Amino acid sequence: MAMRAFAMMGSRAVAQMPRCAAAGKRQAFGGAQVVGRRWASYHFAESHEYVKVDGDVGTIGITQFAADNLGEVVFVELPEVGATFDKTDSFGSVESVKAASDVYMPVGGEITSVNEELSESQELVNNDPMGDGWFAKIKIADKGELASLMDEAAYKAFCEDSKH
Amino acid sequence: MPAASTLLRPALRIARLPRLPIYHRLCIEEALFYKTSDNWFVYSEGPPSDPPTVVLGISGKPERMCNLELVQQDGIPLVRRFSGGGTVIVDSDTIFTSLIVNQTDVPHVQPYPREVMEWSKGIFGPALAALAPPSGGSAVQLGLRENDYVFGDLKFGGNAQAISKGRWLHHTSFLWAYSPEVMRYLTLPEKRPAYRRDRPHASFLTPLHRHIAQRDDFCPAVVEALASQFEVREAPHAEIEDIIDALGGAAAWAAACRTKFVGPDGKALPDAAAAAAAAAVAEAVAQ
Repeated sequence: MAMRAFAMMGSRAVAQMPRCAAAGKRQAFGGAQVVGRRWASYHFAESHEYVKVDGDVGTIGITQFAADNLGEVVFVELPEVGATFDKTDSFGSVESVKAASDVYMPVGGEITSVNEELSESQELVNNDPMGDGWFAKIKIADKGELASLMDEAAYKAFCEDSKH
Repeated sequence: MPAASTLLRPALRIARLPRLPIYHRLCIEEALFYKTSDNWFVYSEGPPSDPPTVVLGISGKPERMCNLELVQQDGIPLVRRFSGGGTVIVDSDTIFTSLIVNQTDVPHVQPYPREVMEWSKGIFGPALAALAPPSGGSAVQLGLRENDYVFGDLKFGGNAQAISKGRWLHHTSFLWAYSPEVMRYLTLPEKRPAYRRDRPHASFLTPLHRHIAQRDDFCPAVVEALASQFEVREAPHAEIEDIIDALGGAAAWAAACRTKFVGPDGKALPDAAAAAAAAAVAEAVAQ
């Protein structure tokens, strides 16, 4: 997401994150409520995209923080399946009521599928950006790139700092 | 030795463009936004003589936003811009301004639509307040209602933004005068700000000429207001041309950029048709 806060970064260590028993449990996160979400496999970019890692497959989208601040999403431009992008390349855009904002690859990879639901149900981005509002799935090119992303705690601190 | 306060202000280039059709203007803005790293304030000198042109946001659908039968009957061009936001009709009664800013130069402004709007109020508000009202009128106070610039609950300026790689663009179409004949090319939007309710264009909009006396004073007043936060410097036309030349020239950039002439179906016109449309508009402006 082309929205960057300018907080000084804290720890960016992204190791194997502990699984948190979040099923059915609400967690406050940057003002958003997360229900039933296991954060262990989520990694976050300063530009407010996330990648959820499952083996070599990543699911990418924008975070709740980004969605909340953009406002009502009215259109999502998604990439072509088969396209490849490097880390930080723009792979699409999100349009809210007044702003068109580029979105960026948190890690490099090949697009293996896109969320066709978003063509008709853009509200999924605002309502569940890290679940049903995902943008694309990718075959991650280099899992080593995950090391430069934030874990949940660091991202939460990053978002809090950006408010000041 | 410059004063310390001067040293701390980021630079802002003033692009005072000649009279250009909105399509060409938007292509230039897109280049300045995506292909330079400078801060810019872009405006056109002198009232343009654009024929009416419908300008859609990046995902705008002509069939939803326009009275297509009238648009096609009257040969009104449709242009899709690279920023978000709604659909406007741009003609000689529109004052179009654009701010392009690096986030690092305004770190206190979060790069989100509402925050940018709030910041812009600190620019346009003082600019408007400094201008003489029409005879018998009183000084104006800029308000924000949802995403609009208003006096009271009457809109006089609409905004759209683009956000990319640590930069954001905020452009505004100010309504200098209101023409019901021109407004009929637009439908009542499906998505409307709540404060509009079901008011038609005539009851919702207020032209700027009712509130400030001299059109030509507006943009210089904005530059003056920007000078409180930036070190402003005018960019010569030749420099703007050099930027476009570095992208392969106007034709090559027009083919590459997101700003496009579109048909009633919302799809970009083929290059030849787009070139013809651009030439027709440019000829109309030149007359």
